[in-house]
Amino acid sequence: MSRVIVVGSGATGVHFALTALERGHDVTMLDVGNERPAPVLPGATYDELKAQLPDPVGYFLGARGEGVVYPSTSASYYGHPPSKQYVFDIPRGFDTNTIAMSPRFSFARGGLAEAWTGGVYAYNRDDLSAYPVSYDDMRRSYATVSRRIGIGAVRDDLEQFIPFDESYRAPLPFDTHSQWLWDRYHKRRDKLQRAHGFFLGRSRVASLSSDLGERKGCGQLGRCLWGCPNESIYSPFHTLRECLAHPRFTYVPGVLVRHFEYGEGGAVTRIVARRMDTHEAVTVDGDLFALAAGALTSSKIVLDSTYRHSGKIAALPGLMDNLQIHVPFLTPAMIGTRVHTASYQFHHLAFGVTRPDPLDYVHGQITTLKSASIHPIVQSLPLDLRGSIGSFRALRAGLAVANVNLADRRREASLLTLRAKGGADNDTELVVHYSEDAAEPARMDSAVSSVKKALGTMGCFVPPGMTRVLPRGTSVHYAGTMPMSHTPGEFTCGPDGRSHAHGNLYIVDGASLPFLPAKNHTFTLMANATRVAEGLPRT
Amino acid sequence: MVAAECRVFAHYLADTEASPYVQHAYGKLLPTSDVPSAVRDRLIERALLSVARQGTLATRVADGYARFFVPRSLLRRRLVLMLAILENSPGSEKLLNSGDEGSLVGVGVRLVLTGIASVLCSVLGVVIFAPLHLVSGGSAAQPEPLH
Repeated sequence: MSRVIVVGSGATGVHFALTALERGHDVTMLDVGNERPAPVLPGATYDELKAQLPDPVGYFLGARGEGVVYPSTSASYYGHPPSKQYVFDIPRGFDTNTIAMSPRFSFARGGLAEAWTGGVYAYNRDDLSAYPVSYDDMRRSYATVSRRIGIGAVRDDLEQFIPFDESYRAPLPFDTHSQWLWDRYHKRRDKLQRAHGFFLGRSRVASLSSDLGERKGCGQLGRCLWGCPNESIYSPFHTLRECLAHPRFTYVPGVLVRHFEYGEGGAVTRIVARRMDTHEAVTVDGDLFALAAGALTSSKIVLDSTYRHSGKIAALPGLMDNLQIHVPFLTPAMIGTRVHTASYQFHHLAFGVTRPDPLDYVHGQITTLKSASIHPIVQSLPLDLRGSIGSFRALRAGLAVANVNLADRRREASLLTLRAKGGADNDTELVVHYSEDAAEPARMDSAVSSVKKALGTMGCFVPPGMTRVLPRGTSVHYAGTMPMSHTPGEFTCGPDGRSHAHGNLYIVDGASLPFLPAKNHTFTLMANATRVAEGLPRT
Repeated sequence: MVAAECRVFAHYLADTEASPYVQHAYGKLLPTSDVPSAVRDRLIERALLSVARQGTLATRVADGYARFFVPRSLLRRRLVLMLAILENSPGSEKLLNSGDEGSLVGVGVRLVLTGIASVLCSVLGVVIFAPLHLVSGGSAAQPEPLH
């Protein structure tokens, strides 16, 4: 069996590692590994936290007020709370220079998925038509991951776009508003589908309606965004915990991988990392190496390795990211009904909008307003704050947001490269240069228009002027810089994830995706990492 | 002055007394709401804040003007901070985190009355603050650019 070195503990790293362990390999995982804090008052609901915590303002707004959303032209309707700050803390020495994009990085145990909303949507045959692997190649891995993480879903109108699997579990119960939208969709379904190409279904979410292993079913606490104390919402941290129980698994936290070294023929000989506490360099040997640090960070490791080996600063074209648009809307029929803040906070409904080109399929999720930080919403209303609070209270039960996602394609002008910083360590910073697709604004307008019309047909009202295009990079769906391809290239990998240039190096994260459908890609990342690990050579 | 401002803003936003906990939190986080001195020293900024401190009706008039013509003003930032604190503080969190229940007509009437009061305060705000805004070099007709 091989000694496999895995870089990163995010969604891809842990599923790659667990599969490799199950197949008999010895696995060492290198990770910065910012630790999640223990949950506060585990049994308390969202409202109870505010009444029972000794310092609720400190918890919800942060010691330095980092959770306060002040008025600005780009203020979002919600942001990541201080309790999730560990997810986005960047280690000293990891520098970036960004153009037309605001990417987020994570060095937490579990990676960026520590702060996700659990959406899991398998790619279908259309999505994978741009890949050198087929849906049949992926199907078994999707099912493996589904059984590990627990996915709630039902058969519905989205099945034609999002393949259903028998391993899925019962979904979480609807909140009142989501139930109303679901019922209304089915009353006007024919018109919605025919006139707007709009299809509604249950969200496919990695949130448990019943216990699975150490994780408990949703306790309806309304604390999803701040961190579920029941662990009902899946995090790669849970799979890391499974790996840690395995005798052939070694976890090495507190190290930042800088680059790898390779010899004649391109084979990687060892990983070079830096200890976070002492800043000493450490090296790790192995037989096989897997980059699973996230598309951007893994790409930097490859660029740094090339730079230190040859002195060449290369560029990795093809950076992709799903553009996201928030469309707030009001359901008048819900006005005056009771709001239950102690309920599952994230989305229950997902939708798809068909386009002439199946690869342009638009994906979205609908989140009805339950527990929420209200000051970002109230300040955006077109009244003084007192009037806005009164209006918000009156409308609250009917408020929701549709999160619209667009697909992205690889383009030469969207790229990653390095800039040498000099100094004794010959350090570099990652240059992230996103170049927008010239056709994207038209695609966006068309998609948003269809969603607005569909919501109108369902009896909802979309207030003018409140739709927001999120800053590029907000989706954290990064991909495409070292794509899978049948055609060998210096910075590509084969369908088996194996680098064409480095025969014992595997690209297992989003960097290897050759096309980015609109659907959240995390499920596919986990399944692909599982598939690649299943194909590892045994010696 | 901060404590008095805190009390007025708490009454304006939530009809509530600012508890010692709220006052402490407001004082602690107030620096995070600050703006550059060049902005803070502008006549319109100082006028909005000074008037707002006089009482809840004055706060509403100043806020009604600021919402449309100086939306990223120091006053708005301080009010947003206060709102964020109140929605997370024992005692005031229930009011701000709940919704109105009742018939659609009843809620609708409350909504209309709320809107009328806001419009009246904003009109009064224009009468009072627009001349000051023009004198201080800003256009009263267009929202402020991002500072």
